[in-house]
Amino acid sequence: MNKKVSEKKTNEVKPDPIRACFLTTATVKAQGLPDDCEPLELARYLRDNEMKSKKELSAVDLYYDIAPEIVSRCNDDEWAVFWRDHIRKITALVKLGEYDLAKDLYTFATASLVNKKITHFSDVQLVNRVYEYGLNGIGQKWLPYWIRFGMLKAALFVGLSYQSVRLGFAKRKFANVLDI
Amino acid sequence: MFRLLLDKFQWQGTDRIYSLPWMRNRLEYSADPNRVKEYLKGGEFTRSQLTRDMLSRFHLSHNSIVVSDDEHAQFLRSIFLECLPTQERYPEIAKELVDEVFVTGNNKALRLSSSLIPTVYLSLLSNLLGANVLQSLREHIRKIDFQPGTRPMHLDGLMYALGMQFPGLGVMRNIIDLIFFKRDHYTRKIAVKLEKMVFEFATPREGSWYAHLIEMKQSGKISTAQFRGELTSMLVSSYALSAAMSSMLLSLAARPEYVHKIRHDEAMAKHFVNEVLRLFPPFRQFGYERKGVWEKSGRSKEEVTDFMVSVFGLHRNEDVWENADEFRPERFATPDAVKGCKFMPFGLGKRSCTGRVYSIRVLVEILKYVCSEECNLHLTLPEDYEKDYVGLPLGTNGRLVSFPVDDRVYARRTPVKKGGAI
Repeated sequence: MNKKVSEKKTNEVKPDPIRACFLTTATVKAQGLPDDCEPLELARYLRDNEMKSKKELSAVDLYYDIAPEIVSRCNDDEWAVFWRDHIRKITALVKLGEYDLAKDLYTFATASLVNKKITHFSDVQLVNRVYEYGLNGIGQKWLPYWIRFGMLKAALFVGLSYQSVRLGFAKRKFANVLDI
Repeated sequence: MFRLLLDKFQWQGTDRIYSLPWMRNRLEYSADPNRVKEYLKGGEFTRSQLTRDMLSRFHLSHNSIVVSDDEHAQFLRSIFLECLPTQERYPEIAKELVDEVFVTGNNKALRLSSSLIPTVYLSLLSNLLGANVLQSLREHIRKIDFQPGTRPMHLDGLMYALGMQFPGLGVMRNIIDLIFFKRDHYTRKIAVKLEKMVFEFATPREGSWYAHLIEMKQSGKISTAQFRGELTSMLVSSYALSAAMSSMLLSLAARPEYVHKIRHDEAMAKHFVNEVLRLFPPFRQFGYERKGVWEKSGRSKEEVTDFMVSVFGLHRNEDVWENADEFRPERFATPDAVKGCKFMPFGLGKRSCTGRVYSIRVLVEILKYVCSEECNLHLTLPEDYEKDYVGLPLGTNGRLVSFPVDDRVYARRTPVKKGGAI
């Protein structure tokens, strides 16, 4: 997809309050929490009020394209881990007003699931959609699929490794709140 | 052989004083209400260092209200008491608990202690700690095989006398447990795991004890170790409450005539609970010391540093309780039945059990519900049940929390037809 077209398209996307927060909803449901529970309300708040830049809106757009597939491929045990490692911490950070770190953590958490769950070699459409967002669709028309797949996986590996270390340090400041 | 040796040191019914030549401690062990009253006169006493050391080093309760100093305990206690459920909530709490353990239509023999501990623990997390317990934690607790510990208190005393309460000897304590008392080692392991899981898989309700604890941890008013200690004290409390509940239900099965009496006289439920706590106190001893006794210069060698009250001995003292071994809840109907330091299942003074109000209310409401037509529960003891000479359950001796020796009971519960029990 042409970059300009892609940008135009993403600019048109506005956060919709009634749109579900797929990953958080699946996580809290697996933990037996209701639809109006605090983690879900705060995740919606983060999405609707704190993610307004072009890049962030584009990320939200991608999220709605891929999240249902992630949800369908995860089980309750994986949601328990997702709660423990991410949603619980994101909720605490939003409550502290640390929106930037919370957003980064949510993006990292989602990217980890993208890498693990929906970017297998056979997931052509999903790989193309993530590639379009993550690598700005470089050579999407003429590069063979297997090369694009390799580039995406390498980019995810490098990006997630870097973010894991960066966020690990950033979270240390809030260790008193996030850890026991 | 080992057991026999330990049994030699058990309380034999007379008041004793123990001391070791290489220790500064002089420990008095008493079951005489007049001596207890005399020692505790004036309120200038606190929980003894010996008790706190033994609780924090040899058991599960680390750094909690139970083992902290007076000032800290007082500060936390005042917040804790404000977070207790309102009085109207207790019947509901009791009903949930009973319905969870005694499922309708499921008529089978139960081992009460192991059935009650996880349910009581979940109930305490939800109602006393004030946490929304998430599914993962709920499932994890259901999978755990909770077993009361086995290490005798006398061994703890011996280890204390040998100075093994010091932090540096933690590895050796662990090795002793790993070799001789695997169940205690296992319980400690699950307690540590549960502290972490409660933090990760339980969210605080607004204004709850848990919310206060989190706020105090974040603002640095309590340390992480103290925070963890308070979480573990919920597990310790669930052991103690389950022990009392088991004794209560087994006593009811042994004395079924009280079902009818309790159904028609609400005050009888309170008397019944008191009688159960008298005969089967979950904690069989409490330790006190006079404030400043250790700092006192020129302290005589004869002065008692640790004053242990044998609650079991006190509650069965024939000099103060008429036919002490007999199960007679009616004895609590007289207004001065508990006066004079003769009844102290939760300890005395400022350092008495913090969860006392909660425990009594829950026990009374459970008893009322179990005896009600709505519950329609029939408890019977197995034919080969191990009873004492008056036909009551036997409590384990020499353990921190005293559970019934034999906790088997047949529970028959059938659905109630509209218009009355069937």
